[in-house]
Amino acid sequence: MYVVVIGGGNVGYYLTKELLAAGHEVVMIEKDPARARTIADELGSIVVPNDGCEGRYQAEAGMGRADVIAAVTGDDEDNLVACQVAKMKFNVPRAIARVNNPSNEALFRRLAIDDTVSPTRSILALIEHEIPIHDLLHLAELEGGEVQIVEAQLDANSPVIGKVLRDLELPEGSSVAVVVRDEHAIVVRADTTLRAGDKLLAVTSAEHEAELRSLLIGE
Amino acid sequence: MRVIIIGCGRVGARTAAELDQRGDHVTVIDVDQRAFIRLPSTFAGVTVRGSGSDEDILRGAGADLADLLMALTEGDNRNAMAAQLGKHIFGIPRVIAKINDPLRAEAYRTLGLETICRTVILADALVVAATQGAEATNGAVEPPTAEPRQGVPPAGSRAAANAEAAIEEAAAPGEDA
Amino acid sequence: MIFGRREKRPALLTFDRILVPLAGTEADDAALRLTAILLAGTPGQAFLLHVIEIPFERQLDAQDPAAVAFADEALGNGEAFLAAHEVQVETGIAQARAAGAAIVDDAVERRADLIVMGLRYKRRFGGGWDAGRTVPYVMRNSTAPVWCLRAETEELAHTP
Repeated sequence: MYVVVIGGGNVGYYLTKELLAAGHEVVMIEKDPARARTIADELGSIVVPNDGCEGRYQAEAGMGRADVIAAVTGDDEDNLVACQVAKMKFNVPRAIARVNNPSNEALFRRLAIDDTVSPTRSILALIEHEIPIHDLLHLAELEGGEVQIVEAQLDANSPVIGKVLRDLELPEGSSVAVVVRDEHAIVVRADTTLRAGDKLLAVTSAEHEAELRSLLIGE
Repeated sequence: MRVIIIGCGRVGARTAAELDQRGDHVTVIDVDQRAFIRLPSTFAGVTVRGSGSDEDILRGAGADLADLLMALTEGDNRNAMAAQLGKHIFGIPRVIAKINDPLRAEAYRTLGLETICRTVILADALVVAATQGAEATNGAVEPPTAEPRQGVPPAGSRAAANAEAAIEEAAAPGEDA
Repeated sequence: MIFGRREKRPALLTFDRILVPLAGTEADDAALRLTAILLAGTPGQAFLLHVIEIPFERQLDAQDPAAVAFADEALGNGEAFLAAHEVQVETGIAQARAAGAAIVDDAVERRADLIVMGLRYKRRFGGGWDAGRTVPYVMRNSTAPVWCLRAETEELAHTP
């Protein structure tokens, strides 16, 4: 694959190294000349030392034949503009943007950025895993947020303790895929009985999330 | 009209002040509290400290009810993102983004943004001023209002030659050369 | 010839393998002359290399017949010149994103003990002298010694 990476900070640098090691063709665009030269000295003549948000320098980097643009600078607005220019001018099939501020993810999806990666949100999810919370933990999103994959921790107060899966009145568009019990993952069947301490991995729609939460966690 | 202005630099502050004076409901957002000093003491609008690319700040500034959003910070990309936030998340009917790179501005116009490009405006006005005079630029280029007192221009310069010619003419008016 | 076959050649000026990158411009003339001086009548070898730079817009192995023809001509001229001065010569063409890196790599592969490069006198807008990208890169990154010769010029950077 031919990948253009925007941004030569830590993320861009390690991403480029990994992609090269995996045998892909990579070009990086990094606007700080000293940083660009340091990276080129190590990784080879694959750095365009200029502003990756400008069409002219994207052209120089061969964006016209790129399969993917990965905009991974530390500034959300730069990542957004780089991806938009790449899509508008060069019809790059896939645009991936790093989103530092999680609340920008909705906007990026709305503006046809194919994939966003929010390190903040990922780490937050990991932290929250350690904290007992009476809420659904968001693990992943599909279809621009329409479909949510969530985790629900059933404590002793959960209204569904002792119930059998087939008897649960799950809201529309929701299903329970996996139950994690005593650190084992069980693929559920209709006759699986739910116990306190179970973690349920469920698929639900954005609309019916609240309903699912009430059902599984209560209040 | 309810207007939100992002960026209280010289441009943002002056625009806010003029609209406020015309009676529009103006909210100005800037990350730096000190930027609001540029607003006149008569400013009757609202100031909000924060980033205009932040959905929560915009919501707090009344983006849900705004008629017009103008993104006027010094960062083209920030303005492009804030304007799109206003248009796509808040549904603000008109959004104007200051984008100084003419090529990027052109690209964003294909995405439904109104853009203002300092480079194009200035260059166009300068060309008119050069070819047709300052008066033809609608105030963009302004003629001097006074001349300073003259010292002696350096010998051999054009100003010196002009000065000599002016003295000769004044000394012997009407005589043929 | 300065050092004929029969004279004792100072050890300081004995080279076994000299890499001579050719740009295909008048910059090459001085480099070829020096190479002839150093190797004439000796068993030492000259390697003439022309690197075709491929921009990112195209794949690295893209065919460019015009560029190859240009390379062949430059190499042919260089080879003829050196052969006429009794220098053993081989030629080669490489395709790379950046000529500098290709030159440095080639020198390592061939175990060249010297790189000789020519440089045109080029001015940038605003009058500054421009050494380009390739020569500075080779200077910075080559393990083999690099001798760079600058062509004569009619105009200097600081003359208006």
